[in-house]
Amino acid sequence: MDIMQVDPEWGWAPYRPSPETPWNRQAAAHLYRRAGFGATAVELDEAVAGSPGELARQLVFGRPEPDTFRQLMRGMVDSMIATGDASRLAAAWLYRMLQTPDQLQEKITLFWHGHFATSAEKVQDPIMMQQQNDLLRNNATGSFQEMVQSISSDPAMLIYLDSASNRKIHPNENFSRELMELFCLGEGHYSEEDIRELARCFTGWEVKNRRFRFNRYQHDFGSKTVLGKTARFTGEQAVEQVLEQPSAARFIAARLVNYLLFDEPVVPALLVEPLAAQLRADDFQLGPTLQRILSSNLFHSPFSRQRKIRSPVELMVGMLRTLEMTVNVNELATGIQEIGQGLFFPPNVNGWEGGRSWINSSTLLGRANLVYRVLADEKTRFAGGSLEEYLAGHQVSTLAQAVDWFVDHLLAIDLAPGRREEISGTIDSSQPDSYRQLLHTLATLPEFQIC
Amino acid sequence: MKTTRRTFLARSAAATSVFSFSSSVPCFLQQAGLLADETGQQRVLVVIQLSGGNDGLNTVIPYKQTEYRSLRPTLAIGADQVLRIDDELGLHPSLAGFHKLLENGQLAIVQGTGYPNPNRSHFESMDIWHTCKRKTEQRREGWLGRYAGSQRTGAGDMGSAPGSQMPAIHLGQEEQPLALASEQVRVPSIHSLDQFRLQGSTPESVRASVESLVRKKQAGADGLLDFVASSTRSALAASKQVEQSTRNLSSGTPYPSTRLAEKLHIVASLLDSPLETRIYYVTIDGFDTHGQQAGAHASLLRQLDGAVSAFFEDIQARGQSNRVLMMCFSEFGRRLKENASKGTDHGAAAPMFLLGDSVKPGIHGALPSLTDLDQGDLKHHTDFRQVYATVLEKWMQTAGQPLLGAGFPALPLLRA
Amino acid sequence: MKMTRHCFSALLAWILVSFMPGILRAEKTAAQLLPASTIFFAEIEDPRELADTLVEHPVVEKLLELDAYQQFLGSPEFERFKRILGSAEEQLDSTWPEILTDLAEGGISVAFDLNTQGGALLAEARDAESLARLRDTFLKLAANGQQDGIKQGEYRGVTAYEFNEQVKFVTIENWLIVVTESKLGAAILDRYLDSEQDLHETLAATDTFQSARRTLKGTETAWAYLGLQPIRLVGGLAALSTAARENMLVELLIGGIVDAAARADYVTAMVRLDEQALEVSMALPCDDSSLTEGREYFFGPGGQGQAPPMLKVDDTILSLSTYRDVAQMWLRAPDLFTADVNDALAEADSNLTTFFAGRDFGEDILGSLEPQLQLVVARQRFDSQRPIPTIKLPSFAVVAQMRDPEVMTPELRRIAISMIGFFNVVGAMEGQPQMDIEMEKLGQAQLVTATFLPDPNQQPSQVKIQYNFSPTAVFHDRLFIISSTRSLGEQLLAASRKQGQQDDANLAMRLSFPALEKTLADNRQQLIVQNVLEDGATQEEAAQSVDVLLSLFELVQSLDLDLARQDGHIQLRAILSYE
Repeated sequence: MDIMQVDPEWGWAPYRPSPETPWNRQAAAHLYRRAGFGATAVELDEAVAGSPGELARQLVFGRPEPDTFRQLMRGMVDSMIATGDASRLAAAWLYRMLQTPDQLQEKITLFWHGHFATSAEKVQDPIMMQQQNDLLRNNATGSFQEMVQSISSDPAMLIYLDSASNRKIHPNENFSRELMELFCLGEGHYSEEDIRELARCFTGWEVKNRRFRFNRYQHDFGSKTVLGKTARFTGEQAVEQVLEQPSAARFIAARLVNYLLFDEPVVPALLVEPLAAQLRADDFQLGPTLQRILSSNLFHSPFSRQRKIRSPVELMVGMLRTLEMTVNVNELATGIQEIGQGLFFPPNVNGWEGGRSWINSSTLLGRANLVYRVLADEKTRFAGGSLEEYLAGHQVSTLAQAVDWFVDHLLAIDLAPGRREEISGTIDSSQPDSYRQLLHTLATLPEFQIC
Repeated sequence: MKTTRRTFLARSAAATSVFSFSSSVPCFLQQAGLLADETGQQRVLVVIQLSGGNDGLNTVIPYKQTEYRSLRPTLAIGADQVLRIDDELGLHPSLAGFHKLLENGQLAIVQGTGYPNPNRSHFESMDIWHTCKRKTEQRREGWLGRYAGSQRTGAGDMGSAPGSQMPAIHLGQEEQPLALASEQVRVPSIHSLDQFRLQGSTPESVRASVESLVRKKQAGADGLLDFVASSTRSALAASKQVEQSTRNLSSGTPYPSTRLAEKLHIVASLLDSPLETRIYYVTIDGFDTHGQQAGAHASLLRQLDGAVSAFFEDIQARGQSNRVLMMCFSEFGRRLKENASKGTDHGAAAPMFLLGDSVKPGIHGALPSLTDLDQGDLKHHTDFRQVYATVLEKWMQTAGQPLLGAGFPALPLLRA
Repeated sequence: MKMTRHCFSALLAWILVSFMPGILRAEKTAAQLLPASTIFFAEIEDPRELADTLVEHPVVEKLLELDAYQQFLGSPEFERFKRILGSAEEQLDSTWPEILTDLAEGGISVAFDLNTQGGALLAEARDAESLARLRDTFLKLAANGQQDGIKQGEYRGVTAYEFNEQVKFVTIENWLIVVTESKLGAAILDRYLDSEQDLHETLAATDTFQSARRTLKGTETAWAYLGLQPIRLVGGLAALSTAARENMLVELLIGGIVDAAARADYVTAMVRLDEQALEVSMALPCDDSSLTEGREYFFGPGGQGQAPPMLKVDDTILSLSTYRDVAQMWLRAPDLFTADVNDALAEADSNLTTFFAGRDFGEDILGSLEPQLQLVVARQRFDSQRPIPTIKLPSFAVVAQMRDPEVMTPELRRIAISMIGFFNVVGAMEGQPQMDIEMEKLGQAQLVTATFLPDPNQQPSQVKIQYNFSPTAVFHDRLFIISSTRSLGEQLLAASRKQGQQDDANLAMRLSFPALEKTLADNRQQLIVQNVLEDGATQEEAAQSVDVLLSLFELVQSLDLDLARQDGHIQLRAILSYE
């Protein structure tokens, strides 16, 4: 069947387990991988004992970080900031992704980081980069409207898109273009004239001492015509005017579906509409829409299963969370950056393109090598112990059992018949690191890159 | 050898005056068939960026001119020291390898390159060389990044060759040069050959088992898996080639132990692999010689010379030299008059170098006048974008205008 | 604890047997038994005393309590080793410490002979009977393990045993002689049995050994001698001199030693261990005539270059005081270093000349200072009125004397100011905090200080690393101090007024562990965070391992290192002191 022919009503209706689409460990693992990064064996056991709808609700709303964890993160972030080096922030964020109980919050924050892409390459200052990261996290599942308002006056964003030099006599169109093209509406829903007029609304929005400052002497208080409406728009009112466009809710809904369900193709308009309607009805509150997407028929259908290529962060954080691994996070951050996803350093204002663009000869070898380095590092632990001890705790004591266990927990695509045996056959079980060799081999397979 | 030298001297003498731009037929259209040579391997461009502003006048030296000698009382290099090109010009004594390449007909020197209203800030001028645009314009992509983006195959093109995914590679630890920035493709920055080697306690067996597992095509496998599977096959093949070529290499051409040489060594190894990368980009920094220039500049040119000579010897031995063109540039030249610290300050026009089997060897264009100066600096007569256009059209066989803008006709710097 | 100590004695015994050396109180000493072609000789004169010191040692006691040691005791390798030892103890009806002191009470030595390419171990036991008993038990044990038993032979009426290809031994009276080559064994026995020594030249009789022997002070726990002539012949010192030619820092630290070693006949080393300190030192013969012109920058004219007296400030972590005429080294670089290093220097010269606003770095800057230099690193105390950085670095300073203060003071002051300006410009481009410049008089002294302006929006928990610095230049008469902080600059200025005692070292260094520990403790939170990130530890685990690290520093007090010319030798000495 073709995605174009999917009935939207069925697509977004709540998924009910059936013999064809049972609620089992594979389905639960799929939900965890997409809503977050991955589930441990115990989490999967608990998941299948409950209902898929309840799990989706919990993932979106029910797992807030405890205060002690927030304090730990605050301290960690502070000491990264104190180094003055923005690239150190990536390690602290990865640590959070690995340890937080609220996986979805980090997964969606990462989505917004790519959406409102801002690079420390230009901004440089770690304090402003972290402020923006906190902003994205605080609004991750909240109101998109508030998010856009905040990001429009976010110092890192102002610097990154040159708004800080947006003056009355010489409006800089960089931010206003991206606000419509990349952040809110998508190409084709505005004119070049709209860009020029919108830029005038943001004149005088400056950064002073890492804070937003409104410079009334540089602001153009005149009348502007933005997207068909003429008024003496302030910047805030201009953002409202942009978000009142019918395409705004559609644009965001489509981006979320592509992020959570499938890389290709772009979501058909018919499928977007019910979600866009809900977003509007909810005043752009994202939580309910996220819950609806994650508990839908479409999410649990073959249109979504195995339809994404793992990003470097998903690849590594997913594996580490699933196997309850602790690793040297500083090196992990560098490794992930080397294979194409430098956190706080997106490649350009488009963010990471995702999908097939993650994959090339250098990144594929880089992925296999990064997994190898993590496995070979003597600091790496599995639930505090060795891989052998960890597997033994799950009643795995032979290579054949280990293949089954790894494939069931780490891979979204099952291997073709006979190939599990074939893989365990290629490893010399007398080697002391045979389980690690096995995991390294599995991680090098194409199947491992899909989720 | 003698004849070659005489031939190129004759040729360069003819070219010394002014270029003729009459035959700027868009030859990239006719030459589509030349994209790959007989072995099916594609042509490659290697760019060396000399960061900091290389002193062009002490690189290609007008050793006879009185202005040169009088304005550079401590830095001028005399007729007895230069490696003579002709009765007017000579190469810096550190450039013995370049001199030999010139005699072998593998070096073209393009005099007087630059751009209008030269900017003397390192950052700004480098950005102009990288993007071909001024500050007032949108500069998110570099000229090579735009090229790389234009080479990308469509997203639906399954199982495409790895080259179409990695049209360019930057080698080095420094920040990636803006020239390679693209909104379409991510250009990888590589700092060690290990990044192309499958690591592991038993990498051979991992490769073998993954290869055998990938080869079995799954019935009904969907597009994404097919795509990743074919990319995995390419990646493993590349890693194997790199492994083999580097293993053979240890006994091959010796490279000096400089960072630039290490990087070019990697380029040579990758040329031997099945990667279809078209552009390799390396940099060497330190040319900002405001004080005590003589020793520092000699050392930098020696590093450049040693690395480039070893590279050409190596690719010749590998049988790859006919598909490589190398281009060296710097963000600006340096002032004619030396300063009080026995150094030179930021200047403007300077020579560029093209190296390879297919260059028209010798000097192209006249040395800009040493008396008719712009704020003490040489005036350019050849826009650097014309050299870029030449490389794109005559070598990479792609239209220059969409990537560089209009008004930059190619120059007759390459054979055929 | 008792068990632990017992195991430790056994371990010590094992080390002594496996690696170490002795001397003879009888008519002949070990050196008199060894041939003149011996090039390496090492001895422990009184193994019993060493064993007692070690077993009672306070640091050893603390080390034994460490987890790592306890883990080693539980390891299978150690278990196996203990079993073997245990069975021998049973056979001998004694304990290993007893057995070993019996075996080597008169001293133990090891040697290597060039002619026979053989190694030797000579031990003088308490008496012939206990040695014989030990030998017989050993032979019996060995016979159990080996199928064809131990081969026996005879040389001049003495029974020789061949344990295997590499190990042969004899016992003669109270001497145990173990060799790797039969020829060496024969040479030693000849010297033992023949009364006329002149028939066989001995190590003890050679000029170089006798001269080396004069470095003995009588307090050594262990002493070693190495003949350099033959080693030089096979190129054994080439690596050292290459390292110095390829690396400027290595040259600055040991260039002079490498140079002297190229001419010296021997080198001696000694270890002294007592309850207060562990001292290791090395001596090379070197008289005035063997100082070369090329290393004048290192030893000074006539070898008289002396390090300036060490200045003391509160919580000094490291002070390094030395004579090095760096300007001269800069000018001599073409002779001292490889072409690559000289190329790098040429590039650095160009950059530095730019940086120092056109002044030639080698001649004008380095050349304006006297060769007596001092580096001081100290724990920093932070002013509560100013932003306190989250990561707390120690402060550091270089102390020098200007040759011509009238010319150089304004010159260096100007350079200091333009450098601060330069950092401000670069910093501003990267969004870093900016510095304010102050100039003031402190008595006769003049200070140029730059302080980072407080950032109004900075949260106290995120104060950047820059706030560790308040770069300061101090000028007072000939004194010139360049310090990373104003406070250290001032303290050093005050300290310089109390003239410290001058010792005659060429280089002296002191590393103080309590101050280092305090500096690390200042950063405890940061270390814990790093540990959490790097080791994947929980916060509690990380806190614990940081505290263990800190407690390790409590074991030791200071490490002193000095290099001096004394009694015709260059002596390099390191002393690790504990409380």
